[in-house]
Amino acid sequence: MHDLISIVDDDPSVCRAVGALVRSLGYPVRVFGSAQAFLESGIVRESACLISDVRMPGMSGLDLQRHLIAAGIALPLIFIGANPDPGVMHAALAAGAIAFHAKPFDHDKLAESIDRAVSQKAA
Amino acid sequence: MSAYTVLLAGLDPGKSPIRRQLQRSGELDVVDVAAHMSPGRPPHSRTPEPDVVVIGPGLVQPLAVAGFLRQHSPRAQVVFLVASQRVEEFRAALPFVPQLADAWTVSTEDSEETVGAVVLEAARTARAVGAQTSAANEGLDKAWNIAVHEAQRRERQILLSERFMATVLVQAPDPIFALNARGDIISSNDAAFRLFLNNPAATVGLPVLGLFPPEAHKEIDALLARSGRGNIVERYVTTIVTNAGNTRNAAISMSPIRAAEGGVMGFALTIRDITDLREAEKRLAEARRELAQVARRTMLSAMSASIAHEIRQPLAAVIASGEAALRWLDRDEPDIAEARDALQQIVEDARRTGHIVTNISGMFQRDKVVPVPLDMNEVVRDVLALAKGELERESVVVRCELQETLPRAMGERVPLQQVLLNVIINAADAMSSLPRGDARLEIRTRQQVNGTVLISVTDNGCGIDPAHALLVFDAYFTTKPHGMGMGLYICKSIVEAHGGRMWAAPAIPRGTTFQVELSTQPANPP
Repeated sequence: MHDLISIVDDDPSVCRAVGALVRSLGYPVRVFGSAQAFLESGIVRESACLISDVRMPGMSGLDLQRHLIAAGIALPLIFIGANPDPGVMHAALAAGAIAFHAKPFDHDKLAESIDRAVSQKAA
Repeated sequence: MSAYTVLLAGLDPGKSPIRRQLQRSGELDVVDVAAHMSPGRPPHSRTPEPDVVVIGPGLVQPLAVAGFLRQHSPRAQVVFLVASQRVEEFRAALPFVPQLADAWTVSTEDSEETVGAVVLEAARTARAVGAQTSAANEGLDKAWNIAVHEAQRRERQILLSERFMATVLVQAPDPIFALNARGDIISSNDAAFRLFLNNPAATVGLPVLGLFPPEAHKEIDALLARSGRGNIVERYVTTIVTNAGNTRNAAISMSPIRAAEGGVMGFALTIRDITDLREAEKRLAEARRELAQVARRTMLSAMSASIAHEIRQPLAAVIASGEAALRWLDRDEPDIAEARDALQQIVEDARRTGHIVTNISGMFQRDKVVPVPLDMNEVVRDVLALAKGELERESVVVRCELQETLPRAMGERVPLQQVLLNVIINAADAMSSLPRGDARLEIRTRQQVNGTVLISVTDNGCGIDPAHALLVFDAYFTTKPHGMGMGLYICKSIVEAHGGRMWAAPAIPRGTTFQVELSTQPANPP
């Protein structure tokens, strides 16, 4: 009954930890080590929300966002970044991201962003 | 009847009234050797055999030159023009020289008219003896050349005269003192006078030690003794006193002056004031040190972004896991297994963070660290952890071949980390133009046959332009638009301060290998 939340981060421990946190909020979770792995997983359209790192080898978070928009997939996006650059944050939000959280992030704010994303997807 | 040909040799420029008198005479055709002294102007080609040869006081061997001329041109008359006090000497000697028994002698004190009359008389005598031949013969050529050579030799002797040398010494830019065998000042030049204007001890008759501060007297005495044994002292660096209480740095040179019988009768002392040079060198060294520090800070600040990223990652994981654990425990039915997993992860991530923080705090420490036995494999791994963000951003594939049995190298952890970090970041830069995913970085460690530890970092980037191969380690050399050219210079100086070596070589098929060689033995700094 709950909406599936996908998480993409190249750092395995961040992946696991964010996954655990989101699961503890009551959502089913799928985690991916790279943007490509997520795109090839076949659950892109099933996901209610995507939480993605920004800086990753290969396809970056912004690349992933552009790819989804180009493919016409309306997937609410929440970015998490360890060293956020104001320009990158602005670009991500301007392109329609729900929120941009700097690591380490506040779990209440992340929970609030996820709620917003899920309701946006449902609407 | 053609004019008489008169050859002038050894007539000083000062004797021009006589020259003019001879030239004024309509009957004489005067050829001056002095006019032919510049090379590339063969004098003999147009000159007919002379009727009269006038030998002035300027030749070193007047009799020899005249005799030689006479031998090849027996009918030419020789007129010696000599200083008045030598006239009698010449007149007495000539009858005993077979070829010159009939030579004429006049004094430089005689009037121009007298000299002119004698020369004209000699010319007429020559024509009476035989007709002039129009072409010069080979012997005359030789005689002429000898006359020219003699005149030049005379000029050199004048240049090397005492007066000439005295002028050179007086005008020399460095202070020069002449000392007697006891080391007392006998004489000095203008530069010495100017430099020691305010030091009353720099006076003729006083010991040369007065030019130096008391603490230098012993070494100056030693130099005098050394020079007294016939040795030349060159550029000995010491201190001089230019006026009361004011000392300057100087490089002094000392040469023994030998008496005719060979013993050392005194010394020539040259003093070069190198104070300004020293100051400039010191300022340059300071500027370099400051620049190196700026470069070091720039290098570190460039890394700090990457480091911050490395810390925030596990920190984010710790907090997220903590929150998750709390939530699992706060449930109506606490999920102990999930909470335990989350807590386990917190411990792991916190350890990882601690490790990174240890590395970074070491990196910013300024304290001097004594070299210790270091596991360079560990240093490589630490640096790779710090550079991870940078390498990932550039999609660099890293491969390590670290020798498991590597002995420990003597070194300071932090500077060596900086060296490797700099080389790795440079490599990432060099590979930035490669298509994504093609960049390869290989890091190897191994013990060499000679026992040293070798760390090599190979990239497959743009490589070093062969024209720059010898420059990459130079200060201020850079190919980067905003580079300062200090990175590799500092790296090399760090490695060399360890008694190690660092060099670069082209990699095959492309790219560059940087190698660092470190000793496993405690260094013995020079």
